[in-house]
Amino acid sequence: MLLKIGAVLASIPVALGTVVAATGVMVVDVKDSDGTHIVVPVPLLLAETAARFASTRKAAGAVDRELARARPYLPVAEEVLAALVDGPDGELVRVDEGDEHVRIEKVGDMLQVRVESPRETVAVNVPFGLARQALRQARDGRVSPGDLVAALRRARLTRLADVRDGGDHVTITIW
Amino acid sequence: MNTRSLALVALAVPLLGTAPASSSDGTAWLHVRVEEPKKGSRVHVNLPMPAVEAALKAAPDAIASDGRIHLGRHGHDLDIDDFRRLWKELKGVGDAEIVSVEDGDDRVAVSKKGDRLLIRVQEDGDRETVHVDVPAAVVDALFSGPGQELNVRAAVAELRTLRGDVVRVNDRSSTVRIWIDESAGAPGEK
Repeated sequence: MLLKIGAVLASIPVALGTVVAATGVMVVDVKDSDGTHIVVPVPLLLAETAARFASTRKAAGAVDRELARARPYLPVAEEVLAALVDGPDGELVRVDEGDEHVRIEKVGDMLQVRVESPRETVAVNVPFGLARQALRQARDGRVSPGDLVAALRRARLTRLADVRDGGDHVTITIW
Repeated sequence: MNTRSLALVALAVPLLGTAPASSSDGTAWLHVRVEEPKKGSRVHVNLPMPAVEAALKAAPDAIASDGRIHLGRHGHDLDIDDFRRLWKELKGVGDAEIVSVEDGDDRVAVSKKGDRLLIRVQEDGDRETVHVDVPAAVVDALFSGPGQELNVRAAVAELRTLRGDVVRVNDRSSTVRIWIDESAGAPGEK
């Protein structure tokens, strides 16, 4: 009997681990210049659930107000994005000003943004799917954090952001 | 860079706006280079034509409606109808200088050469120059709208076959180059 109870108890973390692995984990890794190292793994399923249940009406209202002026152009932005998705890969924008550099490239289904300066480097990878969903929701005036987190589950094995600022280093990766 | 140069560039960009093209099986790309050597500043923009075409739809309704740009509504001095008539007459003539204005060291020339409309602006001698080359078929399409309208959509449709330089602007501190080819990224810069 004890063996059965033990097996059941042991299966719970295994099952949880399997669900988390199957649904994805966002890992936020922060290294401070003072040696502090914090790693926060956030199961996407948990984040999505929290985002859906959290009261976001106030934040949604604020986003809606911010987007009021841009809203007429959002359908155009969607079309531009769609055209970029369908187009070939390539460098879209390069700005060099002294020792500061910005690059925006289309690589597969990802928009890669790189910013380099003597003090900091920023690398952001934006999945087109996520950007299109965000634009669609913004156009409809219905930004759902839960849906956006859910969209991250389609961007597995992606480093969303890698920021170095002086001695600080932050990465956000979807596993 | 002065207002006139910027205005010509601004006019040329929407003209290029929707020009998807395929001379072979490649996608046409619109390339814009702005360089200011003294500032150590370079801006390179490369966009596939379908994306440019989509972006053109963002033109405000006050300027464009159904792909057509309205000018002269407020009695401004650019009379599209007059230009249209002039262009129609000039099409039958061979190569010709359409407009030539000289004012001290400044010179503006608009001429037709072969199947292209050439706009040349020189200011302060040779220190500031603007070169715009537009195929005649594009000008035809541009003037295909009625009254005080420029039919930009038709013009960009004509641009589908265009390859090469369209605009070059050089002034004391900066250069601007706009061209179309089938290379993504860092393409055929000369």
